[in-house]
Amino acid sequence: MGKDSDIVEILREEEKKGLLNSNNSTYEESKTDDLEESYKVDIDFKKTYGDNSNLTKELLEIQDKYNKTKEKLIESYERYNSLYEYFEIISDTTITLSKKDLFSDVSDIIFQVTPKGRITYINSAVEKLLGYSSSGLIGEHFTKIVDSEDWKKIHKNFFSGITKKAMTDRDLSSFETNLVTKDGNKIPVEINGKLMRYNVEVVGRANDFRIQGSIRDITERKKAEAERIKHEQELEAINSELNAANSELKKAQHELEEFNRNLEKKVDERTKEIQKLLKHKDEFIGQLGHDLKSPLTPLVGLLPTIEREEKDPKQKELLGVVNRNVLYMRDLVVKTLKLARLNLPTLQLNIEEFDLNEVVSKIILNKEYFYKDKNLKIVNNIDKGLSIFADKLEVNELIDNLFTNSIKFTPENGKIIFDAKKDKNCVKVSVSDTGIGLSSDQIRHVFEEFYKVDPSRHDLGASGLGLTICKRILEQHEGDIWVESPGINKGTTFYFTIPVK
Amino acid sequence: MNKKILVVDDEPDVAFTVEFTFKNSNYNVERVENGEKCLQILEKTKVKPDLILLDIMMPGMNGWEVFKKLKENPAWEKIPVVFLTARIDRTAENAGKFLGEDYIEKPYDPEDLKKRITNILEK
Repeated sequence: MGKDSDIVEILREEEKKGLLNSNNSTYEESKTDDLEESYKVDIDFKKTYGDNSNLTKELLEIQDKYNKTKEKLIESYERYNSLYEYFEIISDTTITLSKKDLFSDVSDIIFQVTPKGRITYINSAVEKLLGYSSSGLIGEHFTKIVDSEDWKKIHKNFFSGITKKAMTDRDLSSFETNLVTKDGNKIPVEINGKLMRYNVEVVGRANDFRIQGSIRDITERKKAEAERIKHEQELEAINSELNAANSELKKAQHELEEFNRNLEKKVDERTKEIQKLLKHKDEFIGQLGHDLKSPLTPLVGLLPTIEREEKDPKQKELLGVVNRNVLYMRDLVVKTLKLARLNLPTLQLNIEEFDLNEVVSKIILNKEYFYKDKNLKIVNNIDKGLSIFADKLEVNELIDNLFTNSIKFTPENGKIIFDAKKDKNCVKVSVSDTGIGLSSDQIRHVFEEFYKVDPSRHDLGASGLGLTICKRILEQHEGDIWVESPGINKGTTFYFTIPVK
Repeated sequence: MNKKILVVDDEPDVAFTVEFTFKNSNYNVERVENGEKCLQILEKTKVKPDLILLDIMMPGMNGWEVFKKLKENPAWEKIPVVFLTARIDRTAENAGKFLGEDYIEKPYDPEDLKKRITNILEK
């Protein structure tokens, strides 16, 4: 067992007897008083045990040991005191040395200050940032680099009216301030700090708190932030412009909608008006047809008989003139009204399936009175049972017109042939005659309204509307009509096609 | 014995013209000026007409209404009806087609009328 171990053993013994009181609160209070107390114990010991020689010898030895120990203890205390003094002076430096190694390469400033603001540690990052050497700043006040008002705030953050124990729970988070460089420039920084307490057993003083933390250069962040704010403001400006534009747009849209509604309303009104007018026109044509045709009936019905029965050649001639003009007028009235009806947008076809041969046969039969005097040969080559899908009334009109034309322009003993062939998508019908034929110029114009083959001749037998009507009827049926003729006096063939269903 | 044609037309001149057209023919023409009278005559007379020539636009009953009455009555339904009209009337055309009869547009050609009537009556 070594020397030091013995002393510790004795101290323990005495502690057990209650002779050494180590429960005193602080070292400052106990270090001298305890020694005085120990001395008193030594005197009482001699009084109690008397002059027993053996015992005395032993006791003297013990006392001698004790005195030596006491001296060592005092020496130890003194040494401790001097060490303490030394420690107090160099402790920060020691920490500094140890921390210097640790934080030398960190770009943030790592600092430590006393509660009163004395810098006890700062890493080398401060040199790069502020131009001060870190060692030069040790012992300086924090306000050398931090604005004094901000220092007050930092201080207040940790030490305002709170017990010491609670202080360590406090920290300083993202505190923004400006540091002043050696050249007097300001650098925006963010300070994060915490109040630290040193090992109580070693230091144990109220003054042993340190504020320590880091300082980060936020110049770039501030720039970025300023940029961001600028952008945000720009964005806000754009946004408000956009909003303004949007509300303009909405307004315009609203106006447009209103305009559209009005337009639709007007279109509706106009459509109704037009429909009303069309209906009126329809009615008018119907009524006009009736009113024009009815008085023509007795004229057309009676005049031929009167003319035929008239014996006086002079009177007969006059009646002939009247009769021809009446027939011309009849043709004109009937066909004009027919064309007007075909041009009505309200016209609706009554499409049905019917036998083409039957229709043609009936027309040939009914027109007999018209061609029998000319001794014409009429041939119907259309297959029985060849049916088409069309408006029967219109197709009847169409064929009647073509047939009438052929009869009119075919000289006596001539021939008219009806034929029809079923093609892929349509039925092609032809009406051929051995009549006077058409020139190529006449072929070009023959379907035009009021076109007459020979305009120099006042042809009372033709209104010039018959073929126009035929063309309109086929347009309504999405069919086609054309004419072919080898030339004058070489006959004519009219063709028309009607789509199959 | 001559066949009888009944002409129903509110315009006397037209009715007269029809009568005149069939003068010196095998047909006797009788005239009435409206649809109501047509039906009355049919009820009164024992000898029914062989054909009725029916105008469509008439005051009172129009031709189509008369046609319906005729077809509803079993005693009259077989009498052929030919519409004689100044208007192209699809109803008349359809009705005529349905019964195998005809329609003739005013102003008719007397020869055309005679031919068509003969075609029907001599069938």
